[in-house]
Amino acid sequence: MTSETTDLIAGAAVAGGTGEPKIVMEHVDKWFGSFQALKDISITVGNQEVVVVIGPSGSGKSTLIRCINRLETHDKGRILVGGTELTRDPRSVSAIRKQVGMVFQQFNLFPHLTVLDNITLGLRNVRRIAKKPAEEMAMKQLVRVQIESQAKKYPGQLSGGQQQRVAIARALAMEPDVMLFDEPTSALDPEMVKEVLEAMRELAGSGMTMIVVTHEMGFAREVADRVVFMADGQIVEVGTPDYFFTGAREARTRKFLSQIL
Amino acid sequence: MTEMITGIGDMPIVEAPPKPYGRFRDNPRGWLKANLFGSKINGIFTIVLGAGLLYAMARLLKYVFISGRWEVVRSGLTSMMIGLNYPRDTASLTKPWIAVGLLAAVGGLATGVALRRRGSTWYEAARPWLPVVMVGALLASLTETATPKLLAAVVVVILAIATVIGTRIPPERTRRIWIVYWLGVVVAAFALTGRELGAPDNWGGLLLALYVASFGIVISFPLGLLLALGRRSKLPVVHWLSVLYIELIRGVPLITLLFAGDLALRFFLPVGTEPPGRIMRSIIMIVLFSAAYLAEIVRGGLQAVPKGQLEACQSLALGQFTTLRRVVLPQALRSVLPGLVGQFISLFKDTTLLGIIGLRELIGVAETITSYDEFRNQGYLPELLTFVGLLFWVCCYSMSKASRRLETRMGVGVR
Repeated sequence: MTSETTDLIAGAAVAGGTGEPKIVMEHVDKWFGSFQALKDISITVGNQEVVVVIGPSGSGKSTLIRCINRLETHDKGRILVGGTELTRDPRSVSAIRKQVGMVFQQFNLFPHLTVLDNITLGLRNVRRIAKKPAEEMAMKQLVRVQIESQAKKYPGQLSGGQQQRVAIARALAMEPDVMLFDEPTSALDPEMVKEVLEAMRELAGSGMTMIVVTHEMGFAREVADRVVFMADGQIVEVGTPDYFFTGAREARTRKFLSQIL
Repeated sequence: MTEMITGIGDMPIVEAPPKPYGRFRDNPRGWLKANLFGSKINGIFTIVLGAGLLYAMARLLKYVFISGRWEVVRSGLTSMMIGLNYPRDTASLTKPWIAVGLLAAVGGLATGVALRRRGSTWYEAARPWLPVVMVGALLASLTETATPKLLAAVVVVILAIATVIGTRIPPERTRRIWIVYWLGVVVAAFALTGRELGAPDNWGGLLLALYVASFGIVISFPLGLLLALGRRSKLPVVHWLSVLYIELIRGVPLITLLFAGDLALRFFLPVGTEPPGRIMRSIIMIVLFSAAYLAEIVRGGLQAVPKGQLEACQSLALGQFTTLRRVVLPQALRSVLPGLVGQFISLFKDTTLLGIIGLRELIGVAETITSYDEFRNQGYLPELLTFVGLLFWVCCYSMSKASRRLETRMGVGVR
């Protein structure tokens, strides 16, 4: 490793965006049995910053963001979201999950509920909002992702792109401070990718703090404030999209980029 | 100039060729040829099976309308319905009718509400009642006096009125209507037993079977659900107790349990406490037995819910109970509904085993009737058992129909 890249990795700990740190990960390790999925991960994501995480499959990208809302439990190090430390305490887990919305590769919509009910479920049961205002809030988010005409349908009646936009609306309705995207377009047919990216672009423009795991390099180049390249459970390089796509220093990064671009 | 669209790419649009045969009504010859005499072998099968079927039909019709001596059913009808030893005074005999009337009211109300909520036609709403009404009409026609016929007519009127009332309730006010349904069922149960808790041991016949089965189903289902959740629990004590219970009960035949309940239950009770009646004891044992099977069926459904569903709930910060109630169980139970109803049906039929511990269930009643002086040694059992079979069939068939309707309803929009 050259001294410059070391600086860049160290630079990961400096928050971008407005400069106020929103998510802080310090020396995080994660093991699956005897396999180490995350190795000494340290990164700070600033308020209103968009961070795109890229890297080959199995490099720990998904695990990284899944640790942030406790879908996976980290074994070592510290994770703070909005100043609250993520601990074993269910109250801390719940408090952080309320701040963090997530969008999954497989959408994970509730197939037995209508689109509207998918969104109001959390509003009514977590935020204790009455039926009428909850439905109004849900409709507002559906309008935002341009899918309001499908409110009464079931997820199975929608296309993949529409389903993923519903999933985005469902997460947004909870009014989170941070949105995590775990390969949101990887399960979509190519013609559906655009509409989902469009919704995410709009969201980024509105000042949402976002961490996006994706293979969409175009999105990374245009929307990201910083790009993180991971391999073998480590952060290899962190930098602006410009830096990344024109002058990445690490051989592994270059090799990866040459393979996918 | 606009060109006519003649195809997509290189593929010309071709009209699907009309089928050479349609419905039987449209083209009987074509239909027969395609469906019954498509090849030599098919033709032979059709002729052989058709002949066999005709023969069986002829024998059945002869049995039903000519050779069957149904007067034995007529004279034993009351005993088959409520048991040999059920008191025959007017007050006691009224109770089952009140219960039937209440259940008809609940059933009619539910039908009416569903009719309006789902906008189905009257025919669709009436169809599920068809077998029940037909057997009911048969029963009424078999009665020897006018009173039961009159009462049966009253029940039908109640059913109709309740259905009409159901359609008059605006759908937005039917959200909690299930409370009314349950209330009706509970009141019906109490109408039968009065102030006493549980059924007295002089009950028998269909009344016994239905009472035991209904209680068995209603209580064993939540118990089975809890056991299934217990078996999947991360708490070791809860997990192992559930496993132990399920495997222990499933390893023992129901008859053994019924005997144990009948003979041994009193030893587990504190000295001086009177054990509950024989019927209640057998309900307890049937519930315990059925719950173990239901637990395994439900567990299968729980395992079929994708992990992503739970993760979605977690990411929304939904609590465990809400996750279970609103996301996991609706999907899990839907996928195992056929298995659950199968278990309910088999529980209903298992009530015939109650004869072994001295209760007079339907078959026992039938056997006893053939030992009466007027029917003794004249081979009346087949007629009686045919009738018993019909009663069981109509109940089981209705359950199975209800389950399929529920399946379609719950299946709305599911991938």
